[in-house]
Amino acid sequence: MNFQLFKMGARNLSRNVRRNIATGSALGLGFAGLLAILGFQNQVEHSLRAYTVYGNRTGHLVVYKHDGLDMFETRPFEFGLDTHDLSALRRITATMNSVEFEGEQLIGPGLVSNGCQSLPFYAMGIDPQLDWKVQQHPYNLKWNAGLTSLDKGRELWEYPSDSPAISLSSGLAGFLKKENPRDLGEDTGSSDPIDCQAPDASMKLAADPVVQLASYSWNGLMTGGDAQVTGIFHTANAYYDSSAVRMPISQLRKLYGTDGAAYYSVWLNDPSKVDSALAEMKSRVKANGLNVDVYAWNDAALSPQYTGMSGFLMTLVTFIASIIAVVVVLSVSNSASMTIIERSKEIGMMRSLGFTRRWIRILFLIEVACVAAVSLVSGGVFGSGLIWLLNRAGFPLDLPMVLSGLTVKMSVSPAIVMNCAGSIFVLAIGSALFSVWRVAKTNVATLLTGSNH
Amino acid sequence: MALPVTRINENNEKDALLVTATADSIVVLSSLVKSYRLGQTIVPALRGVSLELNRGEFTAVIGASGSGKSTLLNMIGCIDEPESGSIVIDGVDVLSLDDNARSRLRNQKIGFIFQSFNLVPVLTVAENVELPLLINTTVSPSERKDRVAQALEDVGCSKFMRNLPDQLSGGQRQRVAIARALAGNPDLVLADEPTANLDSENSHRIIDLMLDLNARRKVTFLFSTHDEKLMGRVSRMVHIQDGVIKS
Ligand SMILES: Nc1ncnc2c1ncn2[C@@H]1O[C@H](COP(=O)(O)OP(=O)(O)OP(=O)(O)O)[C@@H](O)[C@H]1O
Ligand SMILES: [Mg+2]
Repeated sequence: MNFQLFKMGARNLSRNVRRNIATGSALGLGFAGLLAILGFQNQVEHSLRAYTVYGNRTGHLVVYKHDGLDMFETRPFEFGLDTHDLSALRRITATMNSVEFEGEQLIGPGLVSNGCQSLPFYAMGIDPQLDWKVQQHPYNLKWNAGLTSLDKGRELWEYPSDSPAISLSSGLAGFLKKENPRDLGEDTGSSDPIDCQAPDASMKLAADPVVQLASYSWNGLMTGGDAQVTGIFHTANAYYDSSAVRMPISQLRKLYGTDGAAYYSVWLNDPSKVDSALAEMKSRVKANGLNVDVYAWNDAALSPQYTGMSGFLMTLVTFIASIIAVVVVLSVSNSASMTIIERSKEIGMMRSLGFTRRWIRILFLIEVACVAAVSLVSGGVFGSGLIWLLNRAGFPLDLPMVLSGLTVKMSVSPAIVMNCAGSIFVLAIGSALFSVWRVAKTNVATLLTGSNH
Repeated sequence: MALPVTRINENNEKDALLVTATADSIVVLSSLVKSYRLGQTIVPALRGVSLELNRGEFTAVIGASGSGKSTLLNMIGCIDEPESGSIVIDGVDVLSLDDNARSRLRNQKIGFIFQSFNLVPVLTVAENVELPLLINTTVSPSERKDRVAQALEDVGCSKFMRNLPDQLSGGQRQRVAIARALAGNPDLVLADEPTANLDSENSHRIIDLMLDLNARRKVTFLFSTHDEKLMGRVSRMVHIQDGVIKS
């Protein structure tokens, strides 16, 4: 490549500064816009992942009894995992290198009462030590900040795994007037029955952290027990926020009179290897003769909220990116063809001097490449500034079914920058190539008359 | 040495007006036919032109506007193709060459001078002259500088070397264009109405310069003009009328 010719291409940019600035602005702004929208998608995507896999304690892989995903809630006895299944699963995951940690979880309904009022709850029982690993996972801490977290009191993992501790979702705690969680072992005051009609009933209810739980065991018998509210949390899901409770799995097992579990979750070391781990898990459970289903965390059946949001975002991003692509193509091809028409005589002269078609194409593409490079750099700087400002401004973000409190955030990774810049660059060169190709093939004598338009 | 060339035209008949080249011919044209399509009508531009140019000749093509001068020069310059006939430049049948080979031939054997100078405005005078050498792989970078300097000296423009073209007068620009045409050490220089954009004093100077270079460098010159006053200065005149050579 001859440096002198490169220099000529660069100097040619000064011949139509205004047009090049217009084209460059379209490229630069398109790049900045693409960075912002993809940065937003990246942030939301990671937040949803962190919320689904860690915050919601789903895991990367989930094992249900066969058909248990649909049937467990109505017929837990038949469609829950039994001790045989669980010990087999523990043996399998213990030998899988891809597994970071794993454990069984129990979910189910019941009634929670403060002595005056009973409300339905939906419980999640998890081993507190496992819950610590899940919630404190670096990925969760990085991306899930705020989507689900403890508002008051202490985390379950601060107590032994068989403690009668319970965490209430903030909505449910409000209804039950149990908004003052108390540490286990602290004096909980009088345990006398409360006169619910008395004027000081609310105060007394609020002072007492103990709640009564009632449900049916897996065998269909009525069961009940006491638990102490040690924490109040909020979830990202508006529906769950007025019914969710969390407690150690051992306590929930007592309530349901079972040693079984609803499902078995597996968290992987490398989330990008979900597919291979899923395949391995499927073949291992089959080899062990287990009658179970294995799901990946992003299976639509398992995480409809994630797949719905993610799909919606993808559509939005594709739509905006297409508009940006069209703008880039139109502005580059428009300005390239105008420049070429203006310079057809000069192109004819260069062809006369012996420049081949290929040389003419190269010289023009150098010009387009220069415009693209300069505008991508300035667009990148502008875009970064814009994203920084928007992140700082903290505009509220309202997503369907997700509790508010989120703000619009964009997180741009080096891969996103490289991909966007690369795409716009290729698109710009490609759009110019069309006009350049045609002019390079035009008859030289025709070009020299300057009348090829 | 240029060999006699026989070219079979598209109808596979031997050309009636086959010109047998001598070793001295740099250009041999036989029965060139060319017409342009203007909408529905076909405009004949060359109607069977045969012509031979000897090495070192200084020839003027003279004819009225629309007589076919530019078309003829374009054929010789390998930047347009006839419908039939043959073109041999320095012993090479150019119509059998592909576009790249023709480009190379133009680059290494032919110099072009245009009516409107056609200098690149963002390049300095020296860079403009250097332009055709940049893609000539047979010329080394150091030789390039020497050739540019020599060509600019030959046309008397060394002192403008670092100027941009739009800082020069029309006559000076055409001199630079002549230097550009000469820098590649061509065998043949084609100039289509090189003086049409110049006043008569400058026109005469340009012709003087071309004559001088023709004598000193032994380069074959072919230029077209319809300026009667310039005609007396050349050794050979080719009259063209309605696409046919009259004398
Ligand atoms: N690109 C073209 N399309 C259509 N007709 C053309 C084209 N170029 C030339 N012609 C026609 O061909 C004929 C010869 O044209 P040419 O340009 O060779 O003449 P010329 O002698 O150079 O004229 P001038 O002195 O005006 O430059 C003319 O009738 C002209 O109108
Ligand atoms: Mg003409």
